[in-house]
Parts: sequence; structure tokens; C-alpha cells
Amino acid sequence: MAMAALRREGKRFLLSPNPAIAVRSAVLSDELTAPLGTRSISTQVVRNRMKSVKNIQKITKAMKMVAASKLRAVQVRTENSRGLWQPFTALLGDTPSVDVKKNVIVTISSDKGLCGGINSTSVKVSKALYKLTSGPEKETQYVILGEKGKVQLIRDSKASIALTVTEIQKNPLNYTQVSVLADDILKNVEFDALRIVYNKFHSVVSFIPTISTVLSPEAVEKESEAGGKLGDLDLYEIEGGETKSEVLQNLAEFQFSCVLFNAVLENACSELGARMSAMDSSSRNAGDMLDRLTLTYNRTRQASITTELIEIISGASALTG
Amino acid sequence: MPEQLQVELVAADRLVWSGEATRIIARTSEGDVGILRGHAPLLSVMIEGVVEIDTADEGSFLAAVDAGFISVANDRVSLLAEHVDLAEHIDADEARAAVRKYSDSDPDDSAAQSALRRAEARVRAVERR
Repeated sequence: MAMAALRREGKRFLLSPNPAIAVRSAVLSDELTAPLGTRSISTQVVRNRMKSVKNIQKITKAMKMVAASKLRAVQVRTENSRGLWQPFTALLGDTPSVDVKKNVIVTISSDKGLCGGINSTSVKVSKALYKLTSGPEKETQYVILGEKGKVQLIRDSKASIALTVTEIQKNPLNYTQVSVLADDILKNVEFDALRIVYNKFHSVVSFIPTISTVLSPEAVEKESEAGGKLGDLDLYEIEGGETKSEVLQNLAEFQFSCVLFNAVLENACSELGARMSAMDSSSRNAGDMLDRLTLTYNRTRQASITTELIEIISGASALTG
Repeated sequence: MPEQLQVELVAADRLVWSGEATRIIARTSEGDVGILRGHAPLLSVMIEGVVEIDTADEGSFLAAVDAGFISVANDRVSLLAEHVDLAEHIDADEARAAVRKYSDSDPDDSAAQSALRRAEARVRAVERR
């Protein structure tokens, strides 16, 4: 009887409505506020949890550093590749809002996850672009680079996907590989306008979804008739190749592989930057959880010691008294 | 009209050189072409060869280029090629070894032939330097 009363005392003591503890118990599972018989095991549970959270923190910190070191190398190459654009844009202009029959959307995404929201952003933009460019007599297709984009787009747009390519970053990116990829894409799709959707790397914390447009030579001719920048093309004395259109065709292919190279590099940079910040916030969260768990652990430990003391003392006084 | 030509020499993976120049000589599929100020607009296919650029400050340098395009308009010249090697960065022995390596290749093998032409261009750039 006495023991039962004391047990109830002890339980009340353990579960004293200290608001801090009441909130923290949401962090821990029910085992910790379990019957007193398990009180020495409850510290074990907290300790296990602390160990796994500490491991997670170490892993995410390491992932962040790996991403940071890779980012440095890729960033240099990306900045170098940005210079390729200007001559083509100076020559052929940039008309993203051109209205043509056959559109191809090239979505660039990453193969690995844990990189924040960049892949979802690319897919969202691609889907919006698809809606914009569809209509009667128009045909829009997807070309997907990267596993994550494929997984998201295959769910509801499977029929419009012309080609998917994954594991682009298995070997370090270089122009030759990308130009082969560009050739593959051009062989498999017919297009009037090719729109590449990717995340442009502005800084380590800022990635802007961007669309780059490459027109086929026929579309360029049509636009040039409509005047504007491309209209100057007629002034050019065009030599080389059998015909003017052959030169323009080669130029368009070259432009596509240069623009694709730049886009793939920018997306790779954005992926690494996003992964860095995702892993950074992850390890910071893990640190916070660890602090809270340490507090709970200490409190649990002290509570269990106190209850044991109570039992011993009450047992002793029951014997003597 | 600006005093000089505004030139961009662009390889497929980076901007190799950009600046002002007085004269550019490049090799196209129709033959060698020299560009001075006031040249008519031109878009031409460039073949493997040596490009000579006389810069605004009386200097001049050579570069070995791969096949590509050259475009001229309003005194802006863009040379676009898949590979560009500045003559000062080319190792002469390495270039000659490459020529020897590819000169035995099959004439019908277009990849080897273009590699040969590229190696020859690099040797010429180094020798004229």
C-alpha cells in the first residue's frame, strides 16, 4: 500500500506539468513517458536518438563541404562558358516569344536528390511552358535530362516525352560530351523552336529559372522576314557550304550545342549550391534537435536518479520505522 | 564607326580572347579572308587553320582554330570554333607528335582527318610565332 502510494507520488513527480517537458515530450516517443518500470531504459532511448541525430549532422556537414568544393570548380567553367552566347545572340537575336508550330522543351534537372527545390522549379516552368505553347495545330514535346525531372514529368506527361537522358554528370562535364548529346537530341526531334529550361546560377543562394531559345533555320528565316534583329541577316554575304541554308543549319546546330553546354553547367552549379544550402540547414536543424535532446536526456536522468533515491530512502525508512 | 574592330574569339567552352584589333586574317572554306574596318557583313564557314589578329596596340598574335564560323557586321567580328589554342600556349613538340600520329590514318576517316588538320594548324601557329 505504502509503495503504491509512493509509486503514485513518483509518477506525479516525473510527469510534473513542467511546460518545457510537456512540449519536449512531443519530440520523444511515448516510451519515455512510459511506466516507471522502464525508467532506466528511457535514458537509453534518448541516448540512441542523440547518437543517430549526431550521425545525421556529421553526414550532412560532410555533404555540404563536398558540394562546396565541387561548386568551386564548376563555377569557373560556367562563368567561362557564358561568353559563348553573345556572338550567337548578336547574330541571330533572341526571340523567346516566337510563335511556332513545333516546340520542344528541354528540361534540365539533376540525377541526385537532396538539392532543395530546383528540380521542382524546372518542372513547374516546363509545364507552364507546355501549356503556353500548346494549341490547335501545334505540337510540343519534352526532352528530359536528369533523373529527377524524368520522375516528375513521367507521371502526367508521359506521352509528350520524346527523349530522356540520365547520368550526364557521371564523367566531368566537357563540351565534346555535350555536343554529342546535342546531336542525339537533334536527330530524335523535329523542331521549329527549342526551349531549354534550367536554373541559372546567380550566386550560392540564388538560382533563377531561365529559358533559352534556339530557333531552327526555317524559323530564323521567317522571323527575319518579320524584321527586327534577324532581318539584318539578309545583309550578310553568306559563304561556305553548298547553300545558305546549309550554313544556317550548321550554325543553328553549333548554337544549340553551345547553349546546351552553358545550360547544363549552370544547372550543375545551381544543383551544387542548392545542395550546399539544403545540407547546411539540415545540419543546423540536427544541431538544434541535439540540444533539445541533451536537455531532455539530462532531465530524464536526474528524474530517474531522484526516483531511485526516493525508493531507497522510503524502503530504508520502512525497514527502520 | 568605332576606330577599331571589336573582336571576340570564342571556343566552344570559353571566351578565349576579346578586345580591339585592326586586322584579322582567317581561313574560310572559300579561301583566306582578311577583315579590316568597314568590312561588309559576312557570315562564313571557317576551316581548321591559323587565325592572325593584329591588336589595337600594335601587337599581334596567332591562334590555331578548329572548324567553325566567322561573322562580321558593323565592325564587330566573332570567330566561333569548337577548339581554339593560342599560339603561345601550344607546345611545339606535342603538336608535331600529334601530326605524326594522325598522318598515318585512313584518308576516309573524317574524324582522324580533321584531327590531323587541327594538329597541322597548331604546328603552323607555333612555327610562325
